[in-house]
Amino acid sequence: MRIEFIPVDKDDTLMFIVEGIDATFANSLRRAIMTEVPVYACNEVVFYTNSSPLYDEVISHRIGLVPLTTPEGTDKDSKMVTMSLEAQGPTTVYSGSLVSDDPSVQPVNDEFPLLKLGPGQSISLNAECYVGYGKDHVKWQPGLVGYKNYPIIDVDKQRCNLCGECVKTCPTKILGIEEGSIVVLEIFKCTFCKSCEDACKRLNENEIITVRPMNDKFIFRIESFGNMSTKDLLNTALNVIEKKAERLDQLLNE
Amino acid sequence: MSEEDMDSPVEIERPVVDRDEKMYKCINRECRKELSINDLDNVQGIKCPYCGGRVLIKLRPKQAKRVGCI
Repeated sequence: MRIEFIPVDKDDTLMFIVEGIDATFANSLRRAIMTEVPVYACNEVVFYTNSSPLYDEVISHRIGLVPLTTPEGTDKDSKMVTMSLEAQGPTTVYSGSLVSDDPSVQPVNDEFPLLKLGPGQSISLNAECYVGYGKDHVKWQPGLVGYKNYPIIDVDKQRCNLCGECVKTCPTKILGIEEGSIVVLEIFKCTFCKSCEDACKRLNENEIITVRPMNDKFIFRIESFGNMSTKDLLNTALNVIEKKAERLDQLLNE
Repeated sequence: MSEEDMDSPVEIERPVVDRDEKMYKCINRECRKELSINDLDNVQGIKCPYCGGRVLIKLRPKQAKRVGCI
């Protein structure tokens, strides 16, 4: 197996190419990151007062979906964290108003709007945050992961007449003409739409350019919601897969 | 269930209600009084004992309410 990281401008995004795995393993890695990584999220809210126009249930649902930072080494047995919120109207209450009793567990962004309070309205609550998994509820999902097969774009240079139709047709503009031949500029952006193939066939009645997927090479893209860094996310998911494989091995040996 | 069990009255545990707790509010703009069950016992039917307004709203109970983030 060979892994090659692709530089990305955003901090919350990680892209890498994995070679030497099949689609089954690629999908298990995707699922492990999205559903098996333990993160904090609010699970229950105790309301003391709420004279806002929103029902308690609506507010608790909104607080539950606020992503929380999760310290390294968190697991299912990590302690409960309580966040308190007290506000008097008129004001807009944001996630930054939630005061946590553990500084390492905080909303990832202070600017998620929760509710608006009018004059004379107030709210007072305690939010209880537990560690959970994305397979139980989407509020415990730490990010989004997608993968696609690595594309192979072949151009028959001897038969290509450099009409440039494939370059014009490509919706992601990944093809170009350099030094008298068709070149692939950004192969990661290929979506396998095969517009270039169709355009070439229309004009030349021959398959001069072909696009096909590699079955053992994948491009991964991980976007973290901010609960933890993308590299921690990947490491934790790989540890989870390793532990599950060890457990399966142990059970088979018994 | 035997016949004896069916004949015996079933005792339902009812929550203890503080009859002096202000549970309702008159929505008459000039009244807006908060009322307890004892206040309502003093008048015939359901109406505000102060202004006679017939529309009362229930106030939020003082107990904390636990809601799951579903």
